[in-house]
Amino acid sequence: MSNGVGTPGASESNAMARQLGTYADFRIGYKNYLYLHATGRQDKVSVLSAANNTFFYPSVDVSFIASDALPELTKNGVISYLKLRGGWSKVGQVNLGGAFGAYQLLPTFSSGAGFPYGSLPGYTVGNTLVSNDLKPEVTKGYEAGFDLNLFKDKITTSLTYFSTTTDNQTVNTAVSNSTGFTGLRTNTGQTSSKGFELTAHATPVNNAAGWKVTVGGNFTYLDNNVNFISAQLPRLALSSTGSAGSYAVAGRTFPVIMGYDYKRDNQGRVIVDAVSGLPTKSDTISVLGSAVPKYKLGLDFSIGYKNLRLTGLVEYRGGYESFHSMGTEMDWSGTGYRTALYNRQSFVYPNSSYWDGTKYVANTNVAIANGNGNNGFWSDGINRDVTSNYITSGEFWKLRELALSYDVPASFVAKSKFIKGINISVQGRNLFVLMAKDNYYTDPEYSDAGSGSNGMGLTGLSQTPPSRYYGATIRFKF
Amino acid sequence: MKKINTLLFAGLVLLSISCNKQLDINTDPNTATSATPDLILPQALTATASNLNGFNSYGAQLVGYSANAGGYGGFGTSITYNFTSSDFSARWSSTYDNLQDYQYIIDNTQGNAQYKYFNAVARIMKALGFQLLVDAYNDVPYTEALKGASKLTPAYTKGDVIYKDLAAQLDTAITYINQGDTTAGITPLGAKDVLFAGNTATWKKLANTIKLRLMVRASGKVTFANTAFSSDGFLTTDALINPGYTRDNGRQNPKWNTWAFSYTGSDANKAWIPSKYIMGFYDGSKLSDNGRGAAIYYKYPATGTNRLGVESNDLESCPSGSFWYPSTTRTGSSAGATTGPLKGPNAGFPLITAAESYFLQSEAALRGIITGDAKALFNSGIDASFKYTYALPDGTASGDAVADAASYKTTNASNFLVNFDLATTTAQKTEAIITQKYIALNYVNSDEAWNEYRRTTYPKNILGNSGILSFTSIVSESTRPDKLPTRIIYPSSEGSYNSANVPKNITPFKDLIFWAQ
Repeated sequence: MSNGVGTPGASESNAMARQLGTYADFRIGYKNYLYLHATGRQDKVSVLSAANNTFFYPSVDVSFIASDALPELTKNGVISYLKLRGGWSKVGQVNLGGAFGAYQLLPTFSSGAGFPYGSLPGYTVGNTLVSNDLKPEVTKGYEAGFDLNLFKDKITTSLTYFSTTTDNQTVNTAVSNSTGFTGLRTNTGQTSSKGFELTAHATPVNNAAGWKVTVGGNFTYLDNNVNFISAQLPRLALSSTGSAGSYAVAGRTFPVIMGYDYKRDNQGRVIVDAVSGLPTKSDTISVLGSAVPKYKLGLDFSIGYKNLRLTGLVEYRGGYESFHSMGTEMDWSGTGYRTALYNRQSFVYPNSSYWDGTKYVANTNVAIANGNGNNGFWSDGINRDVTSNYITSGEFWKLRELALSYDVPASFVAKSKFIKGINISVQGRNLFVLMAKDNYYTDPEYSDAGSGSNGMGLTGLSQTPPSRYYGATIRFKF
Repeated sequence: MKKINTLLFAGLVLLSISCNKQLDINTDPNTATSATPDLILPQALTATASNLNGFNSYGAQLVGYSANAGGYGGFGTSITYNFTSSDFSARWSSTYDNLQDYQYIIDNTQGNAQYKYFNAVARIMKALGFQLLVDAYNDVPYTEALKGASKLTPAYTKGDVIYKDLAAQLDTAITYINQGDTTAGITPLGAKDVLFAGNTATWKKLANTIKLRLMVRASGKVTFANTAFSSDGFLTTDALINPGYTRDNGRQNPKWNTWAFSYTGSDANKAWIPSKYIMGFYDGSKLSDNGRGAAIYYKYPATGTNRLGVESNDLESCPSGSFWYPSTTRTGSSAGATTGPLKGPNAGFPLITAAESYFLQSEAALRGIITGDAKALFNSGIDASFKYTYALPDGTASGDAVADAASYKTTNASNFLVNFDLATTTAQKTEAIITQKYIALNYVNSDEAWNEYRRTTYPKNILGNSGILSFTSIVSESTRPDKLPTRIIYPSSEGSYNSANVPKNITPFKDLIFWAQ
């Protein structure tokens, strides 16, 4: 302690929250082919005000195994199993952030920087606008689908359509400093999500020689949408990294990436200064992409021969964009790919135009003088603060997993009295990734905002980069 | 006939306890959920000092007090001036954050006779804060600002309209203080007032001085409702904020903390050194001022200097503690107790110095805004600058400021920038006043010098190869004749969160603050 300099800082924080739930579950079956299942739950929570702290949410689902109810369906040998299912549910939850969501309803005052000076206290008004009237989030939705197996279960398929709407999602959004505050904790309005999931697997080879081959895949189509926003704001900022932000915008997919672009003429060309050749950053942010993959495709296979088995999983995601904040730092230090696009020389901004006094004309000769990368265009904000320079397609193909395993023959194991089985396997994860051509930064499949946040699509600098994993395992069964 | 062959009931639980008491536990044990003006005021004044420190750094690089030091690169827009919305954005956010604290005091004391002083003081500081914003950004949210959830996207108010209202607010503040003086049982400012220690007469002088600054800058462009000043007069002493700065974690004078040493004694910012341009006002190139030169700069007159934008491998680098810390005692953990703009970790932070007050009065007298003797006020300004420069953190003097000021006037007697009698035209007189103010504000309140340069184009900045005659960066991308920027750009946060209202098409080389030329 005596080696320390200055007054040490100390802090303590305690939080307590309670949730009381009442739950009922009801199942009924008829002749092993028709089932009905219903639940009901009422929660009371301490973290919301008394007027909003009680909420009830029920659910109901039915399933009908048609292949059992109508045996004639399976008679021709094509269909071996058919199940139809559907359900409706309502789910309530409270998501206020902080420790257990406690104490998030009232404005706070904290001790100012440096205070107390001796015995002089000083407090500052907290920067988040809060409401004592926050409500729980409620998601209502239904889904319907079927499971269908063909040719004695050699082919298994399932299809599910889903549609949900969420009301009163609670977010901490950013507001203009000129309000006197920087954040607003509010219920957002309404978002909806619909799409379908399709899976199919086939086992074409399964023979006496010991070969068993299974191939299959799943495909998901997702359409997220913000239906409306209830606060008096045109959009809600969910998270931000560098110059980009993840936003909820009414009528757009949820969430979208927004940020700054260059000012452009009506043909989409970047407007540059007629003398300096320099473009100008836009005054306000615009939507630069959607942050959630619209399409996900997974392909898996398993090839087995006697005791040896090779399995693999390949995944594709597409239909979205990603922002890379590392690009701004690379350009600043001169290591960015973009900074060398013009051999660090003076260059004419591509696809640009300038105002000749009466109209915008294509720019072929007004060059940006300083392209050396040490100072000037590449290291200035006019490159680095323009979000659209670092937005790429988020599309990728990835070999997510590959594994080879071997079951040591039982005859070998049997010599030991106590070992019942040995399995040896080697596996690798995230073995390679094939990214979109314009993405020379990183795997877009990680987010700066953390898994609990609604903010997506932004990769930050202070994250651990995605890692490749190799491993080997020996399992003994006793 | 048993049609139903499966019937399952699972988990039917009923709770019948008194929920309300169990759930009434949402009282925050960690953070205060209410405060009083007494608790907010000392923090707000201290935060103003931190904010002004940021404004000082901003002004210092724009108006030629400092230049890039050797050993550092990546100065970017600091040397090209091609600002975007991410440059200096903390000036916006810190000022509004600080203003919200003053607004809280105003909102929570309005109509409370016992708290008239607090209300008046918050109004004065709010006027100062909004002047900082207008001088940096021109139009800013004002009438709709600081209203929290009731106005989430505040509209912008014209800079000249804000100026006019700020002057009226300062008059109101003086009225409130006068009312408070006759109110029985008034809550005194006392120790909460870390600026004037509860001296309300000095607060009225500060109000008048800020109003004078508004009028000197905008006279002719704004029709002020009341152009008269109360009889309380203007500041004759330095207004210094000091909550009890000391060499401790987070408790140092912010300017010392930024430029000299951290509380542990480690080096602070070493990316900047004095410019050749400012050094010319001390070392005899333009004026001869060894007194203040040695009181401000380390190794003077051999202080390392540079011209903004010159980047090469043989540049002088910044020593530990910087060139603005003149003492030869260079051990960070015990440094301090010296003269110049930094002085020491325990020095008060200048809000407005007496020197600035005198130079404002001198110009105001020259232009007929107030009645007074422009020459006498000009000379008082020089004297006050020597006094402030020579002062140690505890307020005592190191050296003889009075004698050195007199010798400065003798040594430079043939130069109209020092000898006011030689300035024959109004333009020369203005140049003399603003140039002397520029010297007096060197690293003290550098942003004010930047404002005055943009208003008057003084001190003269003669473009060319000489770094002594010009402070403009040699890699400037400005398209203006003086190759300087005209302003900084609204922060990205406004384009993101208040995009419908933020003014569009603002450029750093074209758009002027309403009082600028």
